[in-house]
Amino acid sequence: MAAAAAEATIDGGGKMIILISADGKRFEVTEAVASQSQLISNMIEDDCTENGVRLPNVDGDILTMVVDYCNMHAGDAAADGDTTKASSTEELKKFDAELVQALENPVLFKLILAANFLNIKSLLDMTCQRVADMMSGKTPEQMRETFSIENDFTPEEEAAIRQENAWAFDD
Amino acid sequence: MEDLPDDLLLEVLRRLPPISLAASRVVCSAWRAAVDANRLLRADLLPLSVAGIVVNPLSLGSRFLCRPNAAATIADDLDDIRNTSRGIFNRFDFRVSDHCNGLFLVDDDVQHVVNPATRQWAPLPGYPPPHPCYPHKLFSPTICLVFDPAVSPHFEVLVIPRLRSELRRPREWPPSPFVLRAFSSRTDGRRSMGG
Repeated sequence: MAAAAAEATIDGGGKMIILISADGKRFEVTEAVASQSQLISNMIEDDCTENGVRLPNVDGDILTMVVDYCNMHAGDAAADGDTTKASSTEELKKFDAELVQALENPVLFKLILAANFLNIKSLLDMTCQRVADMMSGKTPEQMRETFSIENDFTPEEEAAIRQENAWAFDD
Repeated sequence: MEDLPDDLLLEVLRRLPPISLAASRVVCSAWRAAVDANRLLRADLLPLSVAGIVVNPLSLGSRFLCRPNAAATIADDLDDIRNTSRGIFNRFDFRVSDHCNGLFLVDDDVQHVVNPATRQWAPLPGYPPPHPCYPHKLFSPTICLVFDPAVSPHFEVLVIPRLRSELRRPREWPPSPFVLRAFSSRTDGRRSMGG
């Protein structure tokens, strides 16, 4: 059944691939979309996607975002392909910003893990940059609060570490 | 954030500017270990490459030689910096007397600290009068520049009294007390040359 779906083709050409999330949700995407994931691209080359690709590390809600991202970016990945479908650069930037902007931290981290597991470099770059942007300009206390991190230093240790980079803590 | 394995934490941290990296070292021991083990902070501040060399041919002043730089961040000619800054010197009459981590101490009748990477050019307030313990007829001053961008964006200039060579004989050295005159860009000049 899955094999039949995976063999199916759409009008624009290109084989379809079924991605199966950890909780059993199924996503049908073109090879061009799926192969933005280096992991899946390698599986396509090795011809082992016929029964669908099981992704036991990725939940359905996260995979939904990943598939949306890959659909949106399929245009710029296919260098000499059909450019009419490719989204404009501004649209892509807006889409990317909106994708990561509203995410709660745990979801953002799951998206980073998924991008890393699937090996989608541009998505990994974007999500890591989002976390870095959230840290930039913050004091250590604000960083702990933002990411719910427990301070495991003694007050003496913390003072000593601050002293090592005293220039960063000037007012 | 604890959900992220070390390699992904590193992916995030390496995108931070130095000041936020310094702050992240204080957050928890895992973050400090990640920053330190991968030398994230120092790597950014102290590029491990030779940007150029200073030559001091006898009595000809100093020349700064460096490769043509694609980024054109390092000024390859100190004449160029001083001409575009203030035109204080004539050609060949200045001398790089000390340097430290990318800053130059340039000697003339007025001393300057120069950052050829940022083309900043800061005059020093001149030699301090000799300390009463070290009169000029016995001691000549050695001027040293101290700058470590990993510690502070500010530099210091130390005036170290040195016994004139004709007077050297076995004796206690350094004498006690040994007083150094120091100029700090943090407290005396409010000028930083980092970056």
